[in-house]
Amino acid sequence: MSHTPPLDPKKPKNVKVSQLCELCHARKALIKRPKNLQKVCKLCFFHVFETEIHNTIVSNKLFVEGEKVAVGASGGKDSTVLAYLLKLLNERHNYGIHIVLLSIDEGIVGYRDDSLATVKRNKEQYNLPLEIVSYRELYDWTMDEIVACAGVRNSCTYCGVFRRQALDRGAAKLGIKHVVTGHNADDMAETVLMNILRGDVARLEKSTAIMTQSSGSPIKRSKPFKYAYQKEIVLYAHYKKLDYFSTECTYAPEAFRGTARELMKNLEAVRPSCIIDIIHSGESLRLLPKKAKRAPPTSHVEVRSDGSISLPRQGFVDGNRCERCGYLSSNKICKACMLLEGLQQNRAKMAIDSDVSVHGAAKLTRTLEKLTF
Amino acid sequence: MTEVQSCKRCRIEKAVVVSRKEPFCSECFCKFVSLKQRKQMMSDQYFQDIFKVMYQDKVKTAEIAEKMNAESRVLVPLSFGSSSLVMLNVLNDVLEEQLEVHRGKTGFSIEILVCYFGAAQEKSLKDRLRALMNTRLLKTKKLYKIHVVDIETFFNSSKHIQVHLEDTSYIVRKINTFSNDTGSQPTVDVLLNRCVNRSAREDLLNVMRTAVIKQFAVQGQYKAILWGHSMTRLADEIMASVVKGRAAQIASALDNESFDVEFDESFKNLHPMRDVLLSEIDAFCHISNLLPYIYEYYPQQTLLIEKNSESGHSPSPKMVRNMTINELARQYFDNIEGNYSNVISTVVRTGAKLDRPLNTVPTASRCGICYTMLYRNGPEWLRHITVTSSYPLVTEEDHHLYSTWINSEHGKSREHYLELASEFKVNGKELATCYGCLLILGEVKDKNISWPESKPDILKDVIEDFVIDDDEE
Repeated sequence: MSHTPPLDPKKPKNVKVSQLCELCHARKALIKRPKNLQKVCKLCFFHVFETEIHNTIVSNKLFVEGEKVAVGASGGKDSTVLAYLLKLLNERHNYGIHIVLLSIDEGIVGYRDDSLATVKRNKEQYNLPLEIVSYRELYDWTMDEIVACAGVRNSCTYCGVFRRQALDRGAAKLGIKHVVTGHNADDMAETVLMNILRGDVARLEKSTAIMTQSSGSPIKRSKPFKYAYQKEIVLYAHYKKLDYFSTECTYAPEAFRGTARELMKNLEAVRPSCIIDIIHSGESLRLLPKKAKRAPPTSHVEVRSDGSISLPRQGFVDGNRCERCGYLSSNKICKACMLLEGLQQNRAKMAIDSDVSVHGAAKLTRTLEKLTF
Repeated sequence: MTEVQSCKRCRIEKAVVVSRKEPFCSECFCKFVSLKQRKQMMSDQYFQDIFKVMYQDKVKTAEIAEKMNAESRVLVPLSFGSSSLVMLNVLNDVLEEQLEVHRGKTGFSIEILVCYFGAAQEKSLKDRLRALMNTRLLKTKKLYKIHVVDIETFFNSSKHIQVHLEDTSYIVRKINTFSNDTGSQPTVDVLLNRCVNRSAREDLLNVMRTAVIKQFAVQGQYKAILWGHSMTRLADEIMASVVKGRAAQIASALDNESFDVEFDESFKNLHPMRDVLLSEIDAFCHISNLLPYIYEYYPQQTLLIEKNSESGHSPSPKMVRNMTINELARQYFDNIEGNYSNVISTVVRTGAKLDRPLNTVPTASRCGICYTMLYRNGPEWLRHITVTSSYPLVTEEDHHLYSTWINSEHGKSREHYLELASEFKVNGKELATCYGCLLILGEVKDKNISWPESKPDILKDVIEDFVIDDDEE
């Protein structure tokens, strides 16, 4: 055995030519981009990732100068990278926007309280103002209580409906008209597939819109990470050593969504570019014009055999408002108010003092994690 | 299950199949499938005119009615899979009924098209064809015309082009090739072997086969092509199209109402089996003994009450990595059928509600590879969202490594690719392609394929009318 001199830890000299970055051909490749399978080095990765987000922002004219923008911050990887990157790009390219972190406290003990701690650290690290809106103050329910009352199976339905409103209300409270969220390309592709599998025609055309705005609401939403792969976001957070919270929500995801997620994972293994391919598809989905139904004249009222009558249906009116809370709604009463009413009916009439049994699975997991012999 | 269920329709016979939660006896089940198909065949005026037996009436004379019957020629591409065989079986029943009821008259005639790839497939398919004609279609044999076409006819075009994808800009360019350039005509076999994965291979084969069949229909002046796609297969296609970035093409693919825009608007496509699940078609095959004619597929027995035990025929499960996108979509539907049984029909119904996208390209154009209409500029879209520039070289080591790379084999092979690319850049012309074909090109060796410049001329060169040797004579 011949003696080999110790390697200089700072300079890994033996970089094989085949290991070099395919963009600069000068540094060792560390990352294989799922989008086009290019092997790139760390610096080129930062460069392309940041530039792509910048391009998305500029070409879709997401921001106006002087605008106040709220970042929906959960403490997870997507929103952490989003907050970091928006701040960086804002300074680099002079968007002239003011960034605020906006968090929602759903009230999931052992999950959300921990991730909110991350957001609070982010607030200090990036020197950004933070606002927290809780389900408790808005709806007088926490997610843990909702699950205890309505069961774990529907948790995502409640949480999703409530969060959407909560973000808008939080933004309105701060006088902000633009909420950006960390939805990434994987989320978007999954939604496209889900909408087709569920036949959700109402959402089919709009599911890939980068910005959504309703004429009735002053608050618009946008998704600058629309074309960014989840994998790349994680790698970016990892290599930039960003501080994020990486536990999944402990309430099980919707079962059907689970099957779509599984399908996506398999597809990605066969063709990694499929995520943007699906988004490309999603952008070209368009519905046939609705066929006019043969209906009696509008002045006629049908009397059914059981004596009931059909009320004239109002079509979807953009900007329609909920009769109870005044929030945007396509029906008379918005979904959140409807869910709340159902919950209220089932709320326990009596409660035990300092009862902690409603604390869900997350709390238990945390407790178990801390156990030692 | 020990309890003997009886058929819910006739309430007499013993049930052999459970489909859509209903027990059927074999006769009622075949009728059920058959009616679903017949309903689609009568879906609109155009198809009614084809399939119905025409007689003299207030608007047409006897001659016109006769002429309509004679001109109602439909093309049935037969893959010898379960769906196309069941479809042909039902079509044949319709013909037999018409012969009987209308005393020797039929409203339409069927021409079968078998498109094969390779000598082995040619032999197997021809054997099955012969068997089929001499048994099940024996009575109506005179009403059929049969054509056997080699998929290689796809390249029977006077001119070929070299198509190349530039991977940094996603621009596709073409160069005309002349016969003396390469010496030999490109072949399907060679082309498919250049694919780096099974998905690209399957897609290319599919593009070529569809083009051959549709072009055959154009040149043979058929009224319609009857595709055997089951509801399950259509759901696969819809999902796979979305995954392959081809969602823009779903509307045309499912369109049974208008003439085929991509192929001269001379015929319509019909999917008569679009209301029937593959599992139902497979059960039909088992019940009506179609198994011996089926090529490279074993029909599932999921709906049969008494499963055939001897068929340990299930294909060995593939690794996910080796599956094609269509196979993954099929696997997904197979797996969830138990829990979410209506997903397949939901997907097909949703697909049928789709319209062609709004056009965003300045001039109406077609994909140079698969001939479908183009609605968006795929390369431009990709360039918008993908950055391919690099971060500048910083340290001395960077510069050192870069010069090593330039002089290495890797640098040279990249150089070769770039040379090829630059040759196309100088001599080639841009070729508009759809997003899906862009992906295929990215998955062949050197991102470079030979392709006919125009649609294949099938009738000119090879049209092998298949003559069946009668066993009895």
